Amino acid sequence: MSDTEVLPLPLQLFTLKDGVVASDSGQEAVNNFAADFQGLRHFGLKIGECLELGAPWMGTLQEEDFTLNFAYFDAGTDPQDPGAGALIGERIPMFELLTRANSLEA
Amino acid sequence: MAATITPSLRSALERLKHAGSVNGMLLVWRRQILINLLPFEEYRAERLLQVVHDARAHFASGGDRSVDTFWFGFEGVFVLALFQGECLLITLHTHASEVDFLRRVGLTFLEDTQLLVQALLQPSADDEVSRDATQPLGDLGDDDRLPEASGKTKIIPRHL
Repeated sequence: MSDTEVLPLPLQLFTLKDGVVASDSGQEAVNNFAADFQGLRHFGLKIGECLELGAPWMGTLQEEDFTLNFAYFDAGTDPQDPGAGALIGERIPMFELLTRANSLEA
Repeated sequence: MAATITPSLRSALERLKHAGSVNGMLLVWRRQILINLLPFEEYRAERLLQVVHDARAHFASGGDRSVDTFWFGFEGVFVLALFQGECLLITLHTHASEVDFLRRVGLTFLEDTQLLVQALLQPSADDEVSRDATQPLGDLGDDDRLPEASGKTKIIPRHL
């Protein structure tokens, strides 16, 4: 492996509870996830508004080498409701990552 | 306002609409709706594509990020948005487990219909004149000989 080659981000898991994002991955990771989560949820709400679908219970964004998602558990989709999120530095099947985030409910 | 669509592009998208649990599709070039197969009014489709474009611009504004896929889950329906080049394909579907399959077929559709989209956006001038300048095909004579070509025909020798 060359010196310039950067390892992809490993899978990182986050929990959403009482409007707070928490993770074992460190404060910087939490801050970065929280920024993406809020942006993703905001535009999910906008889509829900224009199609009259309500608030999104999950959202995913994907880039060439990055996948991030969030999912609320059954309690509701308000910012205070419990949920989870995940990110990984590669393009992986979105359903697989959703399943991984949902597994944090157990 | 949607443009006049060539039947082949619409029929290709309608075939895709029958894949999996799809119940609506929207094909967009830049911010122009090409085909709307969503179960919603046109103005809702226009607002939807604006929001999806805004979302992509939001994540790109911080640097060199380029989000090419958004997927949202609502009560009873999922919204999948795929960007490729200057096209955007939005799919509404009901089974979460089909999302990766729908992403792949959606990208294949966008890849395979590039020429159709280009032909729609930039109709060739030849399309108009070619119908006027036509040459009827004559019947072959009794001896089934082909009419003489205007240029020289090169005979390719047969090596036995």
